[in-house]
Amino acid sequence: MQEGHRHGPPAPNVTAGLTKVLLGEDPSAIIEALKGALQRGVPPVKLSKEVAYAAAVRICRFTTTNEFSDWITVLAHIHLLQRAAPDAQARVQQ
Amino acid sequence: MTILTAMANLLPHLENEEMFLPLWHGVFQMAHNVQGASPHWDGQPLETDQVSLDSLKRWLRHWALVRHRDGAERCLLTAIANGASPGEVADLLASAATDRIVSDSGQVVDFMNKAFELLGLIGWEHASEVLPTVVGPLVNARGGEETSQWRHPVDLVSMLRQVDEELSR
Repeated sequence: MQEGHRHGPPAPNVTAGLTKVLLGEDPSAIIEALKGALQRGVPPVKLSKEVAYAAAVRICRFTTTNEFSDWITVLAHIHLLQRAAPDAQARVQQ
Repeated sequence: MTILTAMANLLPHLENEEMFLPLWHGVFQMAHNVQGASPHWDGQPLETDQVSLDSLKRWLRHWALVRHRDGAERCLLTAIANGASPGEVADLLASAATDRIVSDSGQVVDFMNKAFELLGLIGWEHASEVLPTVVGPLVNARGGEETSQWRHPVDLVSMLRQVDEELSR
């Protein structure tokens, strides 16, 4: 039986730890992390999905005591952009 | 148009008798949007098929940066008229839209995306009617480099431009 070998070794996770950096407050660390990922050959579509995930996590952690207009920003702007960005990249690559 | 497209995307998940509701909402919003607006006169493509896509891209980016709507629209229409593929046209618009940093908080990319989704639903033959609607937002957008929050306390714009240069090398 080949049970256990069927899926092969797990692919190395090239973007591990990225979410933590993206949710941090150091812009230069964020820029370096994204640049590094691109230089290591992470596909832009995958990378923008990682950013979308971080944006979603940020929404989950956004407190309900924040102003309504701040919610509009965090929900509408960040999430829409992160939804549009992977789609747009996928479209350009068609 | 964005709402209408988003609503149309819902249709596969709905029962027959429920389908009109999201579409009605979308059409209502679109009508509300254009009510009282002066009509947009359709632009014309250049009367040549001798311009390369690279030139059109360079021109479109230039017209978008100097906020010249007619110029940008004619470049876009020329590319469509000369038979550029949906991917090539998307590349053309996306390049111009991302020259400004997060133009209009990303709304330009979002509008663009929805316009392409709409074409996916109704067919690419409508491209020359649908896509010019994103040219207005594209040329009028404010980029992050024009706002103080992207410049202070940390000048994010110069950091991003530097990465841009490093990556395109």
